Amino acid sequence: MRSIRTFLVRLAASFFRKAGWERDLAAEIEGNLELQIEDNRRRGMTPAEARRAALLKFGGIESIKENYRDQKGLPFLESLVQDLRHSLRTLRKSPVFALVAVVSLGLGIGANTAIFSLIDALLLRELPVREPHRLFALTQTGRKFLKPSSNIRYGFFRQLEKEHQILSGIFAFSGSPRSNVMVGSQGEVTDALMVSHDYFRVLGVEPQIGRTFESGEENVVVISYRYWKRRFAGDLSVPGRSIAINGAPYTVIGVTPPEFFGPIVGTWIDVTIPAFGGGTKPMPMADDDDLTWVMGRIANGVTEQQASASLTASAQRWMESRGSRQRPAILLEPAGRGLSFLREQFSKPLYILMAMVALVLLIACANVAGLLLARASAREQEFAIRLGIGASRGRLVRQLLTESILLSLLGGVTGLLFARWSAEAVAAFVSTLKDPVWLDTSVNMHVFGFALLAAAVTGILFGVAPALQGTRLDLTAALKQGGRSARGAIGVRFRQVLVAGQVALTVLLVAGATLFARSLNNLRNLDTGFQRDSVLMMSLDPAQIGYKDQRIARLYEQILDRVERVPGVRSATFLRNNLLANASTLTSIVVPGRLPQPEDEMELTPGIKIGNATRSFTVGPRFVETMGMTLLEGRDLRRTDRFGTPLVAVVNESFARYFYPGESAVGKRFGYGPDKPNAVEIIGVVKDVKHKQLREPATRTMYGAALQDPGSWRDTTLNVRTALDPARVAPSLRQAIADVVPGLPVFNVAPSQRMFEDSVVTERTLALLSGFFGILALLLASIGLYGLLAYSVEKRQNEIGVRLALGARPGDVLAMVVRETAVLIVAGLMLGLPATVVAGRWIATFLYGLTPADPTALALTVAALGTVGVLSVWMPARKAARTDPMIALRHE
Amino acid sequence: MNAKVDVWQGTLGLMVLKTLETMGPQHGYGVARRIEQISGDRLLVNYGTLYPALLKLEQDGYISAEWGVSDNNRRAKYYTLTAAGRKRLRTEAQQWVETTGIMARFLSAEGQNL
Repeated sequence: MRSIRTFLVRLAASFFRKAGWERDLAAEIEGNLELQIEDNRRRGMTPAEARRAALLKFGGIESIKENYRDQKGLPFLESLVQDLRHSLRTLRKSPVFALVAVVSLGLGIGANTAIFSLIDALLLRELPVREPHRLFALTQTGRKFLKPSSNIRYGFFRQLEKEHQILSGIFAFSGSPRSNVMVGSQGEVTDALMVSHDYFRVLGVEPQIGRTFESGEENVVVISYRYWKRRFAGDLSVPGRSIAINGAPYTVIGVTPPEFFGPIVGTWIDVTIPAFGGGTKPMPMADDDDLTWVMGRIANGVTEQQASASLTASAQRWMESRGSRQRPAILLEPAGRGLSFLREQFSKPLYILMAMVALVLLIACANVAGLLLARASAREQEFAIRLGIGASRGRLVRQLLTESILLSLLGGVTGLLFARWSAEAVAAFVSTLKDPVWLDTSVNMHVFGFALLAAAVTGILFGVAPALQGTRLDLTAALKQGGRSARGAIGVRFRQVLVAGQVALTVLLVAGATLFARSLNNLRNLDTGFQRDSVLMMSLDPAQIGYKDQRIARLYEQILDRVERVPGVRSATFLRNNLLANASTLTSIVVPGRLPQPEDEMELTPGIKIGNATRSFTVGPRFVETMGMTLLEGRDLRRTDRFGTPLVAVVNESFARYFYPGESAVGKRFGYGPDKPNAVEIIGVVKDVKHKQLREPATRTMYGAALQDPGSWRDTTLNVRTALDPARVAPSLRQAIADVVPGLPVFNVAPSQRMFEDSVVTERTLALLSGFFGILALLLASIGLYGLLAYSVEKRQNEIGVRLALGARPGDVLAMVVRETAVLIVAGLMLGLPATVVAGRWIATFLYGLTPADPTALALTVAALGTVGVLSVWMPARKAARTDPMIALRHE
Repeated sequence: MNAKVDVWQGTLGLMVLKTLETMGPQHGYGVARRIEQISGDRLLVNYGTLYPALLKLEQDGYISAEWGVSDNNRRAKYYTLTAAGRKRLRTEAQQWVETTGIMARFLSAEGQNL
C-alpha cells in the first residue's frame, strides 16, 4: 500500500512539477552548509579553511540536485513523456511518412482484429450468462442418431429437474423450424426456441422487463431485446401483449437483456417458448422420447467427474426401471461457450484467414521497418550529435522505439475502426438463407486487448532493427559526412532482405487467393445436372398450421394447381430435401432376382451403414422438368401419380447402371422389403445430379412420388420454373398460396441460384477475403519495393553520375536498376512458390478441381508479382536513367 | 587503519529514522553529524545520498518536513518522525538485530560445530 502511495506522490511530482522544489533544496543545502562551516570554525579553522572543508564535504551541489530530482519524480515516465512529445513533433514534420506508416499498419492490424473478432465470437467467447464455466451439455450414450439428439429420455430429464445435489439446475431446448410470428396483423418468420421452464433461471439470465417462465406455464413467450426494440418499438408495456406463433395465441411475458442471444452461437433467438413441461403444447412428450439438447449447471463443490459418474448411475437406474437392458453413460461436455453449428464449418477457414492476415501484417511491418531505416539514415547526423554530447545509445534506441510504438498504436486505433465495420461485413458473408448468421462482433475487451497487443508487438517488430541499426554509428565519420550517410549500403542491404521477404509472403497470399478463387470458379462451372437459373424456391410447412398426412397431399395438389396458373410460371414441383441443401435420406430396397451384396451398403453418417441402399428423395410431379434435369429414358413424374395409384419412381443413371447393368431400367420393378418386392415401377431415368452437395461423387438415387406417399411431411420446398425473372414472380406466387391457404407460413423465398451460392459459402468467403488480403499484400509490397528503389537510386545518385560521366548510356543505368529489382522479385518468388506448395496442403480440403501446385494459379501469381515489380521500378529507374552527371557530381 | 566508509546501501534510511527518534526533530546537517558521531567518525555521510534519502522517507510518509530556525538563527528544514516512521523503525530495527545476531553467531561458530 505504501509503495502505491509513494508512486502516486512521485507521479504527482512528475506532472505538477513546481519550480519551487529546486529553490527549496538549494536553501536547505545552503543552510546546512552554513551550519557545517560554523561547526568547522568552532573547531578552530580559519574562515577560509572552514568554508573550503565544508564545500569539500558537501560535494558537487549539481550532482546532489540530480540525485534529488531522480527521487523526486519518476524519471522513467518523464523521459517517456519527453520521448512521446519528441516523436509526435518528428512525425508531424514528415506527414507523408506518418500517413503511409499508419495506414499500412492500420490495414494490417485492422484485418487481424477483424478476423480475430470473428474467431473470438465464434470460438472463444463465453455465453453472456452467470458462471458459464459451470454449464455442461449432457448426452447419453447408446443409440446412434441421424438428427441432433442428446439421447436423454424425457422421463429421466423430468427426474433430474427435481434433484439439485449434482446439477443445481437443468434445462432442455430444441429449435423449432422457423416460425411465423404475427404481431397484430404483421406476420414474420423468425427463429424460435422451445425450452423447458427452468431455462432462464439455470442460465442466470434476468429479464430486462417482465418475468420468465413458471413451471407448467403454456402459451407464453419471452422475446429478445432486439426483437422487442424492432417489433414493439421498445414499448415498456409489452408484457401482457398477445401475439400468434404459427397460428396459436401466445402472451408476451418478458424481454431478455440486450446482450443475450440464446444458447446457440451464430443464431439470435428472438422468441422463446416454454415446452417440455409435461403439457401438450406445443409439443407433447412421452417419458421414453429423447430430448434434442440438454444442458445443466454443475452444483458448487461438485467436479465434472463426480457429476458424470453420479448422473450415469441415475440414468442406469432409470433405464432399468423402464425395463431397458441398456447400461448407458452420461457424458458431460463444457457448454460455457454455447452450442454452435458454425464452429465445425468455419473454424478451419477462420484459422486459414487468421494466418493470411498475420502475413499481411508482417508485410506491413516490413514496410514500416524499411521506412524507419531510411529515416534513421537521414537522421544519422542528428543521432551523431546527440551521442556526441553524451546521450547513451540505449537512450536513443528507447526514443526510436517510442516513436515506432507510437506509430503502431496510431495504426492500432485505425485498425480498430477498420475492424469495427469489416467484422460485421464478414459475418454477413457467411450468412445463408437457411442459417442467417448473427455474431456479436462488437469490440469487447478481448478484441481491444488483441488489437493493443498486435500494435505493441508490431511496433517492436518493425522498430527494433531500425533503432539498433540507426544508432550504431561511427561518430567521427557520421559527423564528417555532414548529413549524408556514411554507410548507407548496410541499411540498403537490410532493406533488400526485407523487400525480398515481403515478396515471398505476398507470393504466398496471392497464390492462396488465386487457388481459392479458381476453386470457387471450378465449383460454379461444375455441371450439376440441373439448371438453377429461372427457378424460384420457397419453403412451406403446412404441418405448422395443423395439416396432416392425406390433407397435406390434397393441399399440395391445390397449391400446384393454383401456382401453375400464375402468369410467368412454366411448371412447379416440390421437394422434401431441396437441391444442394446438404440433406438426403437412404432407403433399403429389394431388387427382385438380385442377391444383396456387401457393396450395396451405403454410409448414412460416419458409423452408420445401411444395406441394399440407395439414396432417395421424395419429390412432386414434373420434378425432372422443373429442375431442368435431363431425362434419358422414360417419363417424368405426373400429377396422375397420386395416392392410391401403383407406386412409381424415377431413378438416376448411376442407379440404373448399378442395379440393371447393360439393360434398360425403365419398366423394371423394385420394392422396400421381402413382403413387397415388386412394389415400385421405374418409369424414367435421369442424368446424375449433384443433389446433396456439389462436392459429391455420382451416387445411385431414386426419386419417389411424394403424392403417392403423403407420410409425415414437414418443411417442403416449392420450386417454380418461371419464364420471367423469378424474383418478379415471387409476389404473385405468395398471393396464389395465400389464396389457397390463408395463413400458411411461406419463408426462405429466393431464386435457386441463392441455394447454390449458399452451398459454396465457405469457399466464397475464403475466396473473397483471401482475394482482398492478396490485393492488400500486393499493394503493401509495391509500396515497399518502390520505397526501397526510390531510396537506393537517390543514395546512389553520385555513383550513377560517375558511371554516366565515364560513358555508361542511360539504358545501362536503367538496366542496372531493373536488374536489381528483378533479383529481389526472383529471390522472393524462389522462397514463396515452394512455400505455397507446402502450405497448400493445409488448405487442400477447401480446393476443388486443382492441387496447391496448380500451374495456372502459380503462373497468375508470378504475373501479378511481375506487374507489381514493373510498376514499382518504372519511376525510380527512369529517374536514374535521366540523371544529369554534372548535377549529380556537383551534388557531392 | 581508520579509513572512513560510506554508509552502506540501504542502511541510511534506518539510521535517519533512529536518529530522529532519539534526537527529535532535526535538520539534514544535524542528522548527518549525529550518524557520523555515533559511528565514532568511521562512517561518512554523503550529502548526494542523504537528501534523496530524506526525500524518499518523506514521500513514503515516514518523516515529515518543516522549515524552522536553528539554534544559531539559521533557516533550516527540520525533519520529524511520523507514527508510520516509528512503526517502520521498530520492524526494521528488529530485522537488523536478527540479521546481525545470526551473522555474529555464524561467524563465531567456527571450530565448534564444523
